Amino acid sequence: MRPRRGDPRKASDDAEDRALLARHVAGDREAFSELFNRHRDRLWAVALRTTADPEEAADALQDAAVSAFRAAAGFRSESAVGTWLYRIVVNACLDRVRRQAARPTVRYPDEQSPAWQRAVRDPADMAETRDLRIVLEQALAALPIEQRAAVVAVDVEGLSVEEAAEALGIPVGTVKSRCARGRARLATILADLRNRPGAAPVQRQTAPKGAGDTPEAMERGVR
Amino acid sequence: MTAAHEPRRAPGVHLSAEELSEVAEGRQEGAQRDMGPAPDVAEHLRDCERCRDEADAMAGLLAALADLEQPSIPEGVALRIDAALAQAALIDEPSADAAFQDGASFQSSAPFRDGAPHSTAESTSGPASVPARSGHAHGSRRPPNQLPETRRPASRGSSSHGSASRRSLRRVAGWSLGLLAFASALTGLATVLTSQGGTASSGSASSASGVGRNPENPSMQNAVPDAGSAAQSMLAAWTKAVLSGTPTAAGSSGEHAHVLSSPPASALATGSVSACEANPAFAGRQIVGATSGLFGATRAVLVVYANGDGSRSVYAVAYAAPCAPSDYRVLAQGTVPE
Repeated sequence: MRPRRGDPRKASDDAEDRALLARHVAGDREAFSELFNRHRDRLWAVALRTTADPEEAADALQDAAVSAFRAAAGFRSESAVGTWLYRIVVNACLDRVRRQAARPTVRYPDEQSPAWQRAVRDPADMAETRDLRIVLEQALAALPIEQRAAVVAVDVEGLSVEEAAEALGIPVGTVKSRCARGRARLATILADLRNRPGAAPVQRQTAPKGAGDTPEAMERGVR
Repeated sequence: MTAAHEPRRAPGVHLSAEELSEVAEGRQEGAQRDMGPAPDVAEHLRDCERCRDEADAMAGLLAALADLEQPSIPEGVALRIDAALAQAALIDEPSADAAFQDGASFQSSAPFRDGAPHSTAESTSGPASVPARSGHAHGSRRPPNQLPETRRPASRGSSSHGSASRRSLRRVAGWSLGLLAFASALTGLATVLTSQGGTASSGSASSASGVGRNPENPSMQNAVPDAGSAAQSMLAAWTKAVLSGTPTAAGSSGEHAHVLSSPPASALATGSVSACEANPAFAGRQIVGATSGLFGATRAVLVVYANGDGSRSVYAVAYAAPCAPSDYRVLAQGTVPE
């Protein structure tokens, strides 16, 4: 497994996690919040990318936090605490996404979005740019949920296939096949961008009324 | 990975998605691979420009995925979780397996899925109204009959809070990278975070999943210190009444008369019970009884499941009514002896 930013699975980190969990089970009311806060950014990222919906992600993360709070006594010591939390969060996300499946949803990726349009018009300039990340996130959100969860776990979060299998509750072989299919789908989307003819000069888009409310505009304002 | 001893690749057969993934993984920095691609895969890559290009693209994709930024949790979401955990701490203890007064052992954890709690039935915690840390948790709880689609962010709060709002908005912007297509959802969420930023406790306690607060019922609020056992007693009493075939009588007698009562005939749609019975979290479990009524002041449906294997106990779940396929809000659940 490749190293990750702030890899939470260092042995010392896990030992601290376990100590906090033990304090929580023993009745320390602050311990679990402290434990959860150690992981919350990463768990938020997982929830956000797995659900592809910030509101669902927030709800799922809250559900998961309360679930973990109550299930702490059942924590199995052979797992890393971080992996255990990951599993609870991803289960909450999968539940929500599956229950949401019957609802009408926006089709992703949004080919009308300014970022997508700009990326299509100037694919040569995509590499290592913000637009690539935006389009990649959109393409990720377009994957079937099972493939998305596997790709997020392995390729974005850097879990090993074995860890991902444990976190997702599926066999190792299933993780591999879902990752392979998800990657192939993502690669197809990105290759389509590269291969589109007429890499016309990027035209400055006139900001439509209310454009300042879009996430992209909001992002520009803070970076 | 295609094993070396497998038959030679037939001419014209390109690499599969799995093979391309394996090749791309082997090119990643830090990849722990002692071997390169299987001989037939390597040979094919030498001869096939298309598969080389696809493998290159896949490797680039993996690098890009690994480089995606990790967004920080929005302030409003963090506050919500803090409040939900504070509330959970007030309602019950972490190891809530202890027997309770009238003999039923209560499990406040949701059903487990291979060791991890399943969140479907875990999204609510108890019927009591428990203020969050600063004690004014009287936010806008979603009415029981309001479908999830209507609990959009804008409805979760109504106030704005100057610089806190702007901070929240900027935070939303920060983690919105890559969510360009979610403009409407994000705009709505920004509203939530804006409203939550300055009213941490009330806003955060207003869980979308409904941490069973009941601001309309003062008696329940008064029961805060022992909210968990009150819910447990109610659940056990209702369950036993259902199993004895006299739910109404049980609800109108004894100490639980104030919490269990028969609803008006028109109060609950006839489909309410079956809608709750359809909870996929309990798919496959045998239902031995179900009814509708009031749980505290909350319209509720009780579904009683067999514990199987000749067990002398059942597993009871009280749902806030009506249940919706996308929203099962559990008021209380636990094992109750028959």
